[in-house]
Amino acid sequence: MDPIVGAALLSWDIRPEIIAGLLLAGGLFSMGWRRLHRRGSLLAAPWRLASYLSGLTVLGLALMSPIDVLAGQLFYMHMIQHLLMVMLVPPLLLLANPFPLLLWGLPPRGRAVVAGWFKPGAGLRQTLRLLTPPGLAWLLFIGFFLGWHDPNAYNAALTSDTVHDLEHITFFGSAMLYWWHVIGAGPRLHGQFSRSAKIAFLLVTVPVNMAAGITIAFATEPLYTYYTTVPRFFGISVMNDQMLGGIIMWIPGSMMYIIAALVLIAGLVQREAEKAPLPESEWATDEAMLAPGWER
Amino acid sequence: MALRKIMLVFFLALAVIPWLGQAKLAKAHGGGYPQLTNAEAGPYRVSVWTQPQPLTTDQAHFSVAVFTPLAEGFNTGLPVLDADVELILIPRNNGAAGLVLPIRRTNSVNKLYYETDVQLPTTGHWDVEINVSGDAGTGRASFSIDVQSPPIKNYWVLWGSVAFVAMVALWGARSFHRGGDLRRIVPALAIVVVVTAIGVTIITRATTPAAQAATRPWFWFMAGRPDLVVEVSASQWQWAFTYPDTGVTTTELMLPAGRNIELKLTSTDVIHSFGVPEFQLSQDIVPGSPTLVRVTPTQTGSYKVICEAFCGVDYQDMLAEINVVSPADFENWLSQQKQND
Repeated sequence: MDPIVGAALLSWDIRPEIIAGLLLAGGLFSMGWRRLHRRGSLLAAPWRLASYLSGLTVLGLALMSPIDVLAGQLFYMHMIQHLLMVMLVPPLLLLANPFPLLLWGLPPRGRAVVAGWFKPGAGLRQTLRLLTPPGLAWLLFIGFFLGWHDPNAYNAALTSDTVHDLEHITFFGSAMLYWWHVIGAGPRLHGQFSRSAKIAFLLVTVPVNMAAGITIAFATEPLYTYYTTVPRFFGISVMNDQMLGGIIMWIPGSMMYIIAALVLIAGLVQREAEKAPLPESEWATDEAMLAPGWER
Repeated sequence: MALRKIMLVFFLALAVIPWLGQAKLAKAHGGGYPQLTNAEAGPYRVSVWTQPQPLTTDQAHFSVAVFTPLAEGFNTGLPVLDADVELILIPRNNGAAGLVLPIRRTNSVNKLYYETDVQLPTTGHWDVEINVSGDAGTGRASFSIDVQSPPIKNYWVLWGSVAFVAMVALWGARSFHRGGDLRRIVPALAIVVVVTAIGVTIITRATTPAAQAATRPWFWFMAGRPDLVVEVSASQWQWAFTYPDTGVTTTELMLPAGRNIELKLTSTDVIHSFGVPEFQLSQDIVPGSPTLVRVTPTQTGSYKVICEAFCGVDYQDMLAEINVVSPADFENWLSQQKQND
């Protein structure tokens, strides 16, 4: 193998605090899943376990693998890292409906205590409900997304690891909040939204995301000047790197929202298809044939 | 009973949060604050970053990239992965001992760089030399760093005050709600604690240079639109002044009196400092991080720009003339310069 590629692939940033967090989340979830599986609960479907664990794995890879180390040298690699953390990991984690399964991972006493906090009328439940309405979640998600792409904030994140961690925590936290509303995983503090509301919630994000991606892709000078101080080992110039990063944000980034919206639309269509067909006497009358759809 | 439990959880949280703040060490992936960018070192080119900023006696992380000058089809050269890299640290104050450390790639997080953690015994200015030797020959590059003592860990004082305020609030709420349901005050208490925690975190973090950089867009908002922008470029060991509106570049700085002037300070190689004692101005210039400074000279006359950071061998000669003239004279001078170009 080329020694440069070899050295790049060996660049792992092993961080004990992240590994501990991932192991704790994975362990709790797996224990809860096993308990519910033994009781024959429908919640403990094998695909949920697979989805949750793959979500944690991708999160670990995004934060510790060469993706993270190379993100300090290549803007487009940093965009891939953010896409993984914001668009892939939260849906994977939340599709598994982690809240009840994590609860079941706790010992019975702890489970009762935590469940008590989320009972209707409990203080914590009401506070959380107050702090996480969908509009605010959307604003936070978009606000952090746009705010961190300001060149000054972005350069600050690249020069200081503390700021960089803060960037990742706010990105991931607001993304979890956003996708929580879309997927409707527990705890359902806000009830269930209709499919059309969720589709709208997803699609209003696309223009903002596209605008940011286009701005970066078509910029005529390096926006993120930190990358001009880094040697360009991989033969890609600062401008090409920035253009590629902007395109990654623009196309695959927007694609995730559109895919999610398409999945929801497919569900709507599927429900229509499952309805029993109308009896012939109702649709084959003269009036109905004259102007189909107007008979009712 | 419930109150006692809440107190217990609260104090446990207080014990954990400062620890989380301290646990973050400088040991981080290659990169950080650029000290040298594309610097010449014999047959090699060298870039150096340090973390944290400023460096302290208990934390100093150096990342060194060594690469060839230029390769076919590449914007910079290819990394040199099999060189012997040595870090030599010499304290500026006499008496203290210097350090010589070999840096190996095996200890790096980013295996394309040579990285190491250093325990610096004393504070103050240090000269840093990077020695590179390999198949292509040997080379050296140098810069200087300013080492400070570690920040006072006053987190306990801050969190202690937070705890005190919260306890008083809790006690007051309990007497107010005596006999009532304590759970009713939990949401309010939660909001108070979260807001205070965010405030304390911002206060303790806002003083770092990175946080200051993030607030730079406020600069124009606060200082107003400038009448004139001058780009100041510092390099070893000279100053260059560019008037971007006309494209005029000079080696002496001509300024109109009584105008709001914005100086955009940049460095092409190492850390310099733009110092004009009469203007009460001394601003460090870090490569890769353009710095904006506002000046409104009021008295015409001749002054000197002095580089106030040790930036290499000839740093004492890194001077430039400043001439403050009346706005009319300035316009004449500028148009004359433009004709000369």
